[in-house]
Amino acid sequence: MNAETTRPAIEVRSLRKKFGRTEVLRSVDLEIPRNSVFGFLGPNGAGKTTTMKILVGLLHANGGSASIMGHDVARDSLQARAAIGYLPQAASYWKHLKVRGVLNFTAQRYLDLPRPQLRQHVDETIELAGLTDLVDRKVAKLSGGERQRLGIAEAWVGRPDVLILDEPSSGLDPEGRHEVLSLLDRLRKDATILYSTHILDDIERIADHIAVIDNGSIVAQGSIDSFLVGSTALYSVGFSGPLFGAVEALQTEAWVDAVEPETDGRVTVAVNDRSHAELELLRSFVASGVSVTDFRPARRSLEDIYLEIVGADDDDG
Amino acid sequence: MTDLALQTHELRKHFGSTQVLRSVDLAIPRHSIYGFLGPNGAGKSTTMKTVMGLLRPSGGSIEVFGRDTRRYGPSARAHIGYLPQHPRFHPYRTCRQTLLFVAALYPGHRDRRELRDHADELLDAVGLSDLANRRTHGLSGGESQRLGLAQALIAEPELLILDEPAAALDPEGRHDVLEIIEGLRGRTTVFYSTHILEDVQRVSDRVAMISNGRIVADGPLTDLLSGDDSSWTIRTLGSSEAVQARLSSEPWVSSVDVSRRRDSDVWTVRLAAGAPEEQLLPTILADNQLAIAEFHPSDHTLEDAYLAIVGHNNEH
Amino acid sequence: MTTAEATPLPASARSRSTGLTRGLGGLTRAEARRWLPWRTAGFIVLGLGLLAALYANWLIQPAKTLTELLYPFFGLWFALLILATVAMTQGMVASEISQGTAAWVVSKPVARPAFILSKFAALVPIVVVAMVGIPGLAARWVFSIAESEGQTEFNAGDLVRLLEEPLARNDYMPLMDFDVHLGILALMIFLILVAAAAMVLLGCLLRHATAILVAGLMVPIALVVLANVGLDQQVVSLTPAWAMDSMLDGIAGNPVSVLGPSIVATLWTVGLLGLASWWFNRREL
Repeated sequence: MNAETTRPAIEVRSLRKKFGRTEVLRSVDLEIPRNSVFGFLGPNGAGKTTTMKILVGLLHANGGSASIMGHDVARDSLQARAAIGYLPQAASYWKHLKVRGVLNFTAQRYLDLPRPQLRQHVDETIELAGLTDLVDRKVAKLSGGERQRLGIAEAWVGRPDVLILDEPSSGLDPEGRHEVLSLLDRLRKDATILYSTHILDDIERIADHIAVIDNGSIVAQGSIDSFLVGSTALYSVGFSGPLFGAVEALQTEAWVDAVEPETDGRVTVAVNDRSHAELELLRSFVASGVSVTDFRPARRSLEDIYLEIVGADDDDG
Repeated sequence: MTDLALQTHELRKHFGSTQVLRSVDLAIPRHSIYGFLGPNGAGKSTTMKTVMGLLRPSGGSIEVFGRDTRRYGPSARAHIGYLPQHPRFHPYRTCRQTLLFVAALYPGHRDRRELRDHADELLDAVGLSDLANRRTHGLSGGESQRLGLAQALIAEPELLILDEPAAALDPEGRHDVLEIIEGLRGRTTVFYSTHILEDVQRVSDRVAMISNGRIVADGPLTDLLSGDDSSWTIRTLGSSEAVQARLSSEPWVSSVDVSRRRDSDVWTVRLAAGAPEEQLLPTILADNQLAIAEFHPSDHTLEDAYLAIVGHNNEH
Repeated sequence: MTTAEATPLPASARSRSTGLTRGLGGLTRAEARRWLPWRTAGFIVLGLGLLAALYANWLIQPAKTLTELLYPFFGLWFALLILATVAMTQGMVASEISQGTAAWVVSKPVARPAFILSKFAALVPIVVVAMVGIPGLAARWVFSIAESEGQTEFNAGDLVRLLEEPLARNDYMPLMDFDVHLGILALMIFLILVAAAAMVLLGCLLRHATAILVAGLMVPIALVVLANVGLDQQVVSLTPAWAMDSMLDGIAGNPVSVLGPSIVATLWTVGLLGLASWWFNRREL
């Protein structure tokens, strides 16, 4: 792989933006790896939408730079936009268009395909987004959930390298949310996805990287596992019956830092080598004759972490 | 006095020829926190508006604390605080004035200073104390929703009806709202709709699901979440086809489903009735190279229950 | 949603054009498709209305000949068309900005100037057709009546005669060559296009539809005032008022200069559209 294909899909460097005297973005740095599903979190008004709009060229930054697939969003806006499919927070379309019309229009903006191929391509997208029954519906007559599905289909119809989705699951009922999340999960192999949401569970379910923005600055960024699991890896093991010296046996292993029997029929094991633990921890218990009923990494909830990060930041500022 | 805060009996509502509520029977016990779930357009807001007297029922009855709202509408509403889905306020009042205005609409006389203190407490609880003297004109969606919750609470009603109280809020705001609802537990009956099942799972003690204008599930949350216990979730790294094949061939295993999640495989293993559960782990561990990141009985989320009930109902 | 697998796209499928006008063709077609039926219907209704009004007036107070009716029709049709253009275009850009559809379009790989230019480009053919076609149809209709009433031995198939005939018969009207008619017609079209370009610019600069409409109505008024206020000819000839002045001269029977005013008016059209594109390019949405 050369440098061009290993560069992050989206790179943002000390991006600043003011509206009048209000500093909306103070200094935003983002590095979004290719083919990642990147969750963008933060309080209302923290700057998520503003950042996304700068990437799509709808707003102009007051400082710093941003690039999409190597194209600077200010200098090469057109090439940058050719690589982006964008779902705004409240999408509006020309009212006279029908669902197919919107998708046709957008597909033509991205792709130079002969008519029959373009049609087949649009049909595929319609099916993918579950819009088959709605193709001849005027966009003005769509419900909130249907509109949101059209929005995602529309962002994807040009087969861009990068999807930028501003709250793709907001306003959807549980079924709709489930569908949108599984659609994004299916697109992850073909695109880089940057999406914002207020529903932390949506992030926990499909994101592999996250960034938290607060007061116009990125206050945390990294792979989701680095947040949820932390630097020391903890495992929680549930068992029934006696422990037969399993604890003592584990304590002699080099990859184990500590073994803590809890009061509720569980043991917490801190390890310094995750791959070793995944191969050997369960086997070690079973070898000692312990009947293990439950084994999982001790994860913190994303909400705890989020409130910690955003809350701490509020106290400072 | 009855022990039901709100009861509807075969409640029906149609708009023109569209049947929105076909037959809604709800029985909401006093002091419960009752989550109201269902797809968009299933009839959640319509039910709430009908209870509030904003829509006229096409049939059936509604009782609030045992009194029929057809005869005692206004006096029933004296016990209810209501947050509509998109709250609107008089633009010329400040946030605090809005709360005092609403309080004055409820019966009973309260000391002005006391009321003012109470209003400020509520504004603080919903995170609007900085905006107490700001006019409601130009509030953001999230701020309107917070003020809407405060005005529903101002008269300390015995029943709160909240239509998507956290929809426009960020995670911190949602956390605040859930805390407020949690703080009312044991004192006030809360009947609220939402699309965020994790919230319901966290604070509700009872849940009703509506689909196509009918209640399709109703009961304590714990009942909905108790699934079959013979299903196990295993998350592994690396290739595992051989073990999966061996497992599938065991007579006590009824199915093995594998889905990919990030860099690992997630297996759902269903065991036959009376299966020797203790054999499951040794069978998997027989492959010395297999790295196992998780092994536990499958978690039953409200989402699973919801999709099973509502998805099933929609197919008919 | 289903799990349909997408057929992979050939690498050549991605559009690579990066010019200032990327998307212009597609946007213009979309714009034309969107408005063509409405604009056609609007012009036909306007034309019939104007003709009916003049015909009614002629029935009450018959002029010497029925064909005399056509002369005011040509003048009034121009005035009406320039006003209709102003009214039609007042919300074209501003409402798309306020409703968010402008942001929708330019978040795609579309050059921003193309968005502005497509609005104008979709207007040009329909204005030209309306300016030439509707008076032609009106003339044909009037002559067919006049012929049946024995007022003229008009040959309906002859377009040149069709335009010359009424003027030749009218005592008050100066006799003109067909070239002069064409010249006047060209000036009228250029003037309408200047007004349309000005409307596009106003749509970028102003926010409220009413403000745009009022400012837009000032454009033709300003052109007439400038042409008549007796300014130094050198100053007038730097503005589209030259075309207005020249057109009015032609109608009054004086010699008409077509080429110079047309070039100046076209330069203004291009300039106004350039300014609008530049402004829209900088604008945040």
